[in-house]
Amino acid sequence: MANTQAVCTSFKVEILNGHHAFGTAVTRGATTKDDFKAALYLSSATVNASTTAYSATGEVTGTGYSAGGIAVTNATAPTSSGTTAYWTPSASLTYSTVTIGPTDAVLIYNSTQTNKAVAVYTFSAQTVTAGTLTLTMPTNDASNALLRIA
Amino acid sequence: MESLGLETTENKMEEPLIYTSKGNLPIASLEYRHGWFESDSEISFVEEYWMGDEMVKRSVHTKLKKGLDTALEQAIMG
Repeated sequence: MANTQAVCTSFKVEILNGHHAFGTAVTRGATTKDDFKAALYLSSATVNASTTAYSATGEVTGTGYSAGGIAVTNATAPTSSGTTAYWTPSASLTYSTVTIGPTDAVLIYNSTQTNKAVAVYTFSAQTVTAGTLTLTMPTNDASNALLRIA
Repeated sequence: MESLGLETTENKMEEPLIYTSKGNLPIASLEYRHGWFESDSEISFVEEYWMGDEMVKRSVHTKLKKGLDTALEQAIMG
């Protein structure tokens, strides 16, 4: 099997049901934004559009890597330009001093809302040895943001 | 005062070390290799430290050029 880059189908339904809060302008009971995390998966794993929640199955393991991944820095509220709404984490995803791999996918998920999946992003398969894996985010605009709804 | 013949802490701290799969090693004893990879979706920088024929440290820095979009579509009623 292989990892496929996709906005998770379940996420599309969940945003219509108000499950995910990337910003603070929420109208449900809690008025704080949710926490999101980023977990890395082995190149042999199967995370894709059908992924509904974080799972340890297929996740990388190794020295320095904690199951569940790392917290996503979310200091930039979702916004829009033209007819596109978009959002991007406000900092790179940095896995420091790890020995992991090969990995070619990261799953962004909502750790506040029972680990519901948001999206899978793939990259060229990499092995890290006693080093750092840094995933730098794209430009946060309507054409390139990490998550865009057109 | 007669020297005790011991290395001083000050001398040890002057030798730059780097963390590797074999613990902290002097950078000067390792070979540094690096390379770039670019595709339509990313640009990656890879750096490695080698001790002889063995790679003891590897870091990867990837810039995702573009995220994902999902379109909310609407149908025509009637």
